[in-house]
Amino acid sequence: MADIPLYGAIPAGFARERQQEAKGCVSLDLATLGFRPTSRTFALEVRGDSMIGRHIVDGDVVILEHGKTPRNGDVVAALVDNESTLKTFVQEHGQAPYLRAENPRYPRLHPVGELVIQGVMVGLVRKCGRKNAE
Amino acid sequence: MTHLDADAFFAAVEQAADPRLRGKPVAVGGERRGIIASASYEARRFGVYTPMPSVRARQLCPHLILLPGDFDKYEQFSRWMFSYAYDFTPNVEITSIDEGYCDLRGVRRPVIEVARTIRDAIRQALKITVSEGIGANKLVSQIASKLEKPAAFKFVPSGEEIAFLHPLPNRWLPGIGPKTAARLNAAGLALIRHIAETPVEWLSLVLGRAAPQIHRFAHGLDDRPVVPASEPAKSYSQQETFPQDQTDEPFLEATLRRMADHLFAQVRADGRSVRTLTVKVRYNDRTEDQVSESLVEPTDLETDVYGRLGLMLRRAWRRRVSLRLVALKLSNLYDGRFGAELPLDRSAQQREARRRLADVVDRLRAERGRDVVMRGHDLLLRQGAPDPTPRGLGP
Ligand SMILES: [Mg+2]
Repeated sequence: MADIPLYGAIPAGFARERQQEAKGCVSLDLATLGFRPTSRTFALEVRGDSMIGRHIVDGDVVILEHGKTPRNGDVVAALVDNESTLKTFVQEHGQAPYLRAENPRYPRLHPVGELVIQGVMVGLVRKCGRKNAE
Repeated sequence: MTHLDADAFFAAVEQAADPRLRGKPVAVGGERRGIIASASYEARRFGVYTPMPSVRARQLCPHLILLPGDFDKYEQFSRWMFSYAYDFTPNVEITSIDEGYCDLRGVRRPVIEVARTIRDAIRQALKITVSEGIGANKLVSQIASKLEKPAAFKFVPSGEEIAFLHPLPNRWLPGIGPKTAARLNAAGLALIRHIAETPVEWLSLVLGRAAPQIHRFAHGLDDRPVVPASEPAKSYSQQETFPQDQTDEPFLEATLRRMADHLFAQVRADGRSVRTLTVKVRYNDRTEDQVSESLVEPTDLETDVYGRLGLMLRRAWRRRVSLRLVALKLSNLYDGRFGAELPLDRSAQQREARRRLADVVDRLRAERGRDVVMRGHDLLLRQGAPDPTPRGLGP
């Protein structure tokens, strides 16, 4: 088993009230995880529906690695206007990279240059029996 | 030795997290506390510094963006900031949320180059700046990092410690606070050079027992090693093993409160605050459970956590089995006191009164022993541990 620190909820949608309380840890079986967590591995709980196109939905817990270099198409968590948001990292040949939501309702694109990328997604945990996001 | 110190850390993290705040005067300070805990360099240009009452800061800087602290976020950034040092060496000593030492001697690349790489990686990934000081020991590297903030990068080559230290005012030496500095100044020892030139016996008239250590510091000597922690941060902890297994909740809660008294006295003596509490229980079959909780803001007062301890004990004590041991740990260390030093409202005044009381209690206990001041839980504990109830009749 591995304990991975779970930070507050991450809105994958419009900005919401940020959750203040520290959420402790998620404990995961290493075999399920498929990799060995480092001190830079952390988890965030997804809020909202902006990543629906990647089948990441409200209530999911994403496992992320800080400091990993994102590649085109990777899902990343970034701080946008002081909110943790989940987006797709897009870098087309020679262009400056930007972040894109995976839901046509969120059309805004964010240039990466000045943003803090919190981490690159390396795993996803879906809670059993959770009620659907919609 | 390299000392790493983030610049205006809380305010810088807020600016990193929200590009709209960059280049603007930003301060972090609780409305609750009414005190500025961190001010961006843009705010400092208006004369805002820490600690300062928020009201005063607003007068000096009408456009000041005053934010409440978001300590989860600061701890997240802190963890990542130090992870870039851990890329090169396990010999990292994190001394507070935004400061630490690393010993890079074992690294094959030149120390200056490695220190620069760490600094650049932090700026690139986290959009905050750190100041670094490199020197022969902790003393020199720490002063070097703080001398020319922000974004300082100061290397003091070995052999040049004296030339570096001696022209500086005495307050740069660790252990010299404003009061001691004033006494030294009155004695004509305004500079570190003056302290170095004064015989220890004379120095002890002003500095007491600290004189030999400070005299050595004034000569640039410091053999304190880097103490790498297996867990990422230092903590204060205490545990108690019972001669007989316990099930009595009031007794156990009182035991935790007494531990809190003891640990917070240490926290205050070190001029620190803490944010995270962990209560651990060990059952009579040696298995353990624990819970951790973080406060909204760091504190240095046990009275702020008394109410939490009973709840945490009940949450940690999951099995209906008697206990062999309880432990309390305080972690997530911050430098300085976070309570209002300049009381502005009633709750701040009450906190300030409790803080003064805590100081008096600390002093009395240091002079005359623990029992000179007894709180409710001390009286309960004085009655001794209750007779153990039969096993299995837990909470
Ligand atoms: Mg600092």
